[in-house]
Amino acid sequence: MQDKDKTESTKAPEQDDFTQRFLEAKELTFSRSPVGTARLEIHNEVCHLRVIVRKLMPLSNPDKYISLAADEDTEIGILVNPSELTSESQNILNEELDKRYFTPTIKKIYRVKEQFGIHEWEVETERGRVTFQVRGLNQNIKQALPARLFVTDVRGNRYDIPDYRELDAKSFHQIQRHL
Amino acid sequence: MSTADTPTGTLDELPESIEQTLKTLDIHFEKIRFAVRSDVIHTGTFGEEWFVLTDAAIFTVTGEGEVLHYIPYESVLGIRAESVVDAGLVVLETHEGTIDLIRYSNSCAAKFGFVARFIGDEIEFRDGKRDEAPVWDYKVEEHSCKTCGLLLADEFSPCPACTKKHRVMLRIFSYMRPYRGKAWIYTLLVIVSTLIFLFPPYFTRILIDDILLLNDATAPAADENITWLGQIFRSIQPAVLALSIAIGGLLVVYLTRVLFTVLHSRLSAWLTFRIAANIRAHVYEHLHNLSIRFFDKRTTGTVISHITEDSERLQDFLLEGLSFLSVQLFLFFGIGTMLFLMNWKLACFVLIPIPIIVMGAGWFWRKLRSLWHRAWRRRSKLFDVVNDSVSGIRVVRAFGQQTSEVSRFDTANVDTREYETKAELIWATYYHPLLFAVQFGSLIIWYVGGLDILTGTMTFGTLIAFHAYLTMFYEPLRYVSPLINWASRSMTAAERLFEVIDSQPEQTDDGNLKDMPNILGEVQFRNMTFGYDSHKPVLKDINLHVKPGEMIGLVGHSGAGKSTLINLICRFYTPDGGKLEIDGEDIKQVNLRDLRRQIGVVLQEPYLFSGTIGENIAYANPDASMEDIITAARAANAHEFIVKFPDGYDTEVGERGGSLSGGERQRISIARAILHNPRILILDEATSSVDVETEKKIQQAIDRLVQNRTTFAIAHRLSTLRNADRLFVIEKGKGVECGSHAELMEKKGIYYKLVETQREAANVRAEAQILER
Repeated sequence: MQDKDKTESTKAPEQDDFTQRFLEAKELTFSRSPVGTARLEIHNEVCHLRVIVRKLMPLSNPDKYISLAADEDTEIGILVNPSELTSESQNILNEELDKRYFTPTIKKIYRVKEQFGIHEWEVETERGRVTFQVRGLNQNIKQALPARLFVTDVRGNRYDIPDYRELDAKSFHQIQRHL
Repeated sequence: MSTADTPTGTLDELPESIEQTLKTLDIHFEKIRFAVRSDVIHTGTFGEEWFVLTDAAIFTVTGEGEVLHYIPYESVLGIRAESVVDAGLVVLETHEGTIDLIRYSNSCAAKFGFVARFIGDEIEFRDGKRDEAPVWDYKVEEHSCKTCGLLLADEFSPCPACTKKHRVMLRIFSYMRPYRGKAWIYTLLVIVSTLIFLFPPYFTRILIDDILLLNDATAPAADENITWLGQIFRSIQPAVLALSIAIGGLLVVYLTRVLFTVLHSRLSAWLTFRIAANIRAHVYEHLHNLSIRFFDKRTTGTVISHITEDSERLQDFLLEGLSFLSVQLFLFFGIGTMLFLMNWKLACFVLIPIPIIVMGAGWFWRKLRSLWHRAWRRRSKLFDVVNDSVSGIRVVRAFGQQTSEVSRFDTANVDTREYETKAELIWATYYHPLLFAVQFGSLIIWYVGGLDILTGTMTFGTLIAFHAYLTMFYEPLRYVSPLINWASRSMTAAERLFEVIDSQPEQTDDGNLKDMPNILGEVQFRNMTFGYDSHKPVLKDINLHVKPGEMIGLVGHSGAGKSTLINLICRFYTPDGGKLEIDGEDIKQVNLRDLRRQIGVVLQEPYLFSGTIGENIAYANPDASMEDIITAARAANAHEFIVKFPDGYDTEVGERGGSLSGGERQRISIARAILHNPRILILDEATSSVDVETEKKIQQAIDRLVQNRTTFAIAHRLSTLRNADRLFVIEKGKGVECGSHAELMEKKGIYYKLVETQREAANVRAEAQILER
């Protein structure tokens, strides 16, 4: 039964417009409202009071193809190349992306200590130094080939190691010992 | 504004210094209602930031006491906790616009989720959108050990710190209790057979020194070292007789050794299979008493592997590893003692290569294991590629992608080859040097022992015996590392098994449970709230009173919460807030066995167990008479097709009822429900994907089934709900409309829209069918 899920779209069947809107960087300006909300202005057209930003390829191409939305369900369009934005707009966009994509990247591993099947990791991330616990390494470390690792801790936080081969020798050794 | 019951101290404790700072501000407030600590600061780095709710405003404050946001409570229109990728943020709707208030990592998601829900409800109550003030029912979602405080994965897990490895071993042995006598005999047999192992080299020595070389002039053996057994053999004449006796003795020793080894191996097999089977049975039995939540948090695969793989792993170790380990351990110390008794100076030399062997072997196995593991991972990846493209061979051909599939395989293949080669290279390179380390030990002994023989301080026989012991002594050392590994892996497997056994059962009878042998079928939801994660409610404030025998149709978009509501009636889960009552009793207090016996379910995908049709109909009442089964099948319109099968009611349904059509399976499951005769019936989309004729039959069967029972029916096709007394419309977890079909159509609300949409879709389908013809 397909009709169930299509209820939303059948509301306006005459407007069957499925062309994706790709937005040009030069027609966009990001700004902040007095209370700090990210606003998006499409020049000569419209101003969205709160814009939601999402990466379409957060793993393979995190810096391009940003989906801009007015709310969870209403996409405004896709910004292919944010690097062409003005630097101020870029800053705001990056701040919003940072807010939405928290996953800390592990830069350095100080130690991994095992106790009772719980591995305690002490690491340096771009968000600062942090200690977290991982239970059962096999289930909680997901490998994306070639050498990317996602570590999930007991509280459901995920940490990213983009390429474990590029870690410094000591950090690499810490992982090597436990994998 | 009402701030009726103000909780304090149940969340985080705001540091005194920050509280003081807030008080020095111009902003006036009476008291702090609660404060929540976040572990991420507004710039996105880890740190400390506070969300503070006073009687008059919401604040966010840095760890140093600097106020970031100050929003008067009356200007707050709404609040929500938004989850983003691996974190979350509290978003506030105010008269001035939307404010991203505070960020937090997933560690804090539960408490912020709760706080946002609580404040949101309070605001709705203030604005008159809600009848009752929210109740502060914050539950700590993190589960830590009650004994030592260690953080646990979920509420079911036992504390790993409090179940130490040696205790795991003890627990395994505790399963031996019924076979205590045999266990002691086993231990005795192991010790005896180990001792027998020590004999042959000792005999060799006597054979050489006291019989063979006795008449040799070159052997003026140090007579003071002669053993008592040697004395006896020397006294036997002629030497041929002594030789025969000695060889005979050796034969007896060898035969005894065989006998004892056979005995203890047999006994070990007998014992371990029993232990493993008992543990398995215990785990399996316990599994059926666990809450559905336990299964939500684990994949089916994990649970199955608990029972099959983990117990097999444990069994293998108990069977082979443990006896090997215990024999080798006894031997190691036995031989060690023997060596020192024979010649302590020479024995000291034996010890020289030990550190090299142990460390070398340790490194060797560790390296190999990690490489093997990586090679295995690559191989399974390779297998995936093959599986993928062979199962999708038609798609591959249709898109002309043979070349790219081949190259995908090649990449994975080369990758696998690399790691397999690496592992084999390590083996090829280091295995023989490792063997050499062992041989090196014997070289030392030959040299030092040889010197002793030359100087006449040691006999030739002693050296030979010494050498024989030596090989047996080094043997286990080479396997120390893999054995320890094997042991620890088996212990982990055992731990996982015990984890299941130690998990909390679904309901424990603490004496307060209500027995309800005869449920009338009155169901009442009172402000019921529930979420699979309690900070993300799926159902909110559900209020519904269902009279006994009434049929309620549950209507709503997919994901609205219909199935969740049904899960709660079955009490697979318990409500987080509010109450669900059956015949006026809180469902939490109703004896589960009584409850479930009187609830019947006909599911979307009827699950039939392997067995015959008759057995499947009688699943819930195995004692039902054949007459009852036939009557039920008849009522379910199933009898008519069952009689046509050559094997009738004895027809095997095959795995998951594979040999039956969808409509047939459906009707068998309806027959099952009719025979079960429940007071409360749950129908989940009972008519789907069948032809019109069958649908009519099924509908008729259902009409018979629902009579005189309280029924909750979910059907996506609204026409199937025409018999419902009332329809309950759920939208985004809330009950939004309730009434008969006619009433709701009149109201022109959400139900009306749904019906209209389906009618349109049906028209489109009908048109399409006409076009096809």
